[in-house]
Amino acid sequence: MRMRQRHTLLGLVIAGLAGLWTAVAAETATTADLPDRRITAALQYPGITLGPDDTLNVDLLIKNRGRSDETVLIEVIEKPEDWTVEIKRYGTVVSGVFVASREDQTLNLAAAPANKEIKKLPPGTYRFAVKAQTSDGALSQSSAIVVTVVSAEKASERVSIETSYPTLRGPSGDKFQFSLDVRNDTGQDAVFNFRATTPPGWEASFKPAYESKQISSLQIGANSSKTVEMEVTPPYNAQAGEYDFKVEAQSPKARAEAEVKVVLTGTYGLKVGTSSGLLSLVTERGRRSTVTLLVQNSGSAAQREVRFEAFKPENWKVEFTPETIEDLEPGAIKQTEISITPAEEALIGDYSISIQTEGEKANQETEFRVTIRAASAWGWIGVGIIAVVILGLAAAFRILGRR
Amino acid sequence: MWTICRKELADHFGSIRFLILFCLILMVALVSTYMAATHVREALDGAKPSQVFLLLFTTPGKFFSLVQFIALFGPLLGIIMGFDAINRERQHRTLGKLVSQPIYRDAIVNGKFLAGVLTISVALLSMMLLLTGLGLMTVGVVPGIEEIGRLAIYLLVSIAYVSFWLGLAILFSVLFRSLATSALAAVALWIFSAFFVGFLADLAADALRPIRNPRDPEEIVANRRFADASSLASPAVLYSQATSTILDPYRRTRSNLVLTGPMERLSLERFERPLPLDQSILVVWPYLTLLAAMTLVCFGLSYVVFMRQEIRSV
Repeated sequence: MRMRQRHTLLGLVIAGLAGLWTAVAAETATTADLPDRRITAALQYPGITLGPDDTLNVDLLIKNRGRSDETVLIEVIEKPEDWTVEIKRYGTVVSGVFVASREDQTLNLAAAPANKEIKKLPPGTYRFAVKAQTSDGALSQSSAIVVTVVSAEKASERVSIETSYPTLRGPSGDKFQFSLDVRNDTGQDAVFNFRATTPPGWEASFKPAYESKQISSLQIGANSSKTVEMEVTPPYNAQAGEYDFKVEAQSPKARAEAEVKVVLTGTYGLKVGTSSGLLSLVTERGRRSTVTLLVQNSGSAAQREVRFEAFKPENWKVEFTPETIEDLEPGAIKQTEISITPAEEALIGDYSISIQTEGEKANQETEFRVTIRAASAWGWIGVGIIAVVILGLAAAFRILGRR
Repeated sequence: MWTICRKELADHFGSIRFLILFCLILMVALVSTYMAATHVREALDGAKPSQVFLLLFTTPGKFFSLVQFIALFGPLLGIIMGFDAINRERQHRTLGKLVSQPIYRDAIVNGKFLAGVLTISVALLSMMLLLTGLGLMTVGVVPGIEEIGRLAIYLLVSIAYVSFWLGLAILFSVLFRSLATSALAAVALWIFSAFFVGFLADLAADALRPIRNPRDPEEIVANRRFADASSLASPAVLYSQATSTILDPYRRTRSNLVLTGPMERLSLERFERPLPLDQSILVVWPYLTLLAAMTLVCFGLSYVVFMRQEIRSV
């Protein structure tokens, strides 16, 4: 057993060493395979589209895949007449770059109209070409880019708002959340301001996805998209119906808009009270007392069944006649009679009885204060006893007195 | 009758006995005010309870509150006033002389009882007024109408209770010729009702409603209820229960032990509010009635016995 384990271990070590050796061999082989001299120079994109407010900045990549180090000179060989082109590295204008063997360098091509007065790029198609060659001129390579500058209207189309659920349904008490994907294809980071046009009384707010803070603007990186949640809250008295919203995302250079819709279904609400407004009653132990409860449908949808439940002390009886209210139309009022019978051994004082009125998607709690008073019947019996005693005393006075 | 009453009052107020009594009252009032005042201040630091003024009378402090003091030693006051009412006259052989005066015979016992009641009233009233005044000074809480009403009823009940013992002492003084016998009889009854009835009630409850399973609330409640009910045979218990309900507006029931379910407790705690005065009175009304009736019956008995006694031969 033990031997076998040792063999396995040994095998593993050998295999590992073999692997290492192969890797090293491959490395030397690639170095050995490299040609004596070889460079590659190319602009990053063959063509780009810009808006009038953009600036033209394109990376120029230079690679040395030869075995010897090279100094590469860059020359602009083609440009529009009234444009100036600069090859820069970290802001410094350069004429070439030294690239060691198997290394890469990145330069930057920046172009602008020669006339500094022109702040916006004139629309049109322009071609730029650069040529890279080694200092001895043995190797050279050229690369070109076609720049299309489009008008402002076309540029704005490169921002888009998309939503997977443009229409939401729900009762008026709810909040509605639209998830909006804002895509920035302008090729530049930008801060977008969000604005929503709502029907009167509605409120709209914007939040980043999965966060609770409210925002009004958001930075979106070039050629990327972000998800923004728009939450709309209907006014408390909103009627059922369809409501249209317009969302706008605007950056200094571009804007986009989208339309979303909310369909409000009916609301559910109940109002419960008594006719006098009093929520207290006075009774005695074991004596049934009744109170009439009025139930109003304060929503905009009908309630098919309203039930009642009581939170009460043990041994108390609370009954409802009728036990349920059926078909309560919006705005209609119906009543039920509550009869409360306190327990025989209830204490003198105030008890709380709470009545739950439960309808469809709406419930209402009503609390009653039930004051238990001491029965006064016993009081009169006591008075009677005292009267009897006093009468007895008076009789004794009469019979025995004045002797 | 009024002449007898006036003479008796003069006797009471003029005697050394009354001077000692007065000193006792003053002392009790001072001590209980001091103790109550310090404790009420502590109690007021936290949540403010309503009807703070009543706390002055019911806060026990270190030793006792005024209410506890009157409940325990009030009967002694009545006994001191009454144990020698009739038989002293007999011993000094003045009863015959008294009866030979142009006064009716019932006027003697009525007058003596009335004078005793008046003295008791003066003593209790002065004690309470002293405490009220001192309390106003030290605590600075002004009593409301409700509290004054409660205190007035408490005073009435206390006078009736002490008068019960006065009536009992007069009854014994009519029944027994010897001063010592009547004093001893009254004191023995007082000690029995104040100290032993509760103990006996516990014994009786354990014998008749034993607690077999100490975890069964039903059995414990039955046992306690029986003990409470049987200890009501003592007027002292009757009195202390009645007055504690009158003076504590949060007491909702006569019994010491109440079984409430969890829902009932929640429901009760929702509006925790002191009872109005009339409800408190109605709660203990049976006790009040019983106390008043007992006092009257006691006096009536001594009246009847005295009227039927042969006194000329003495």
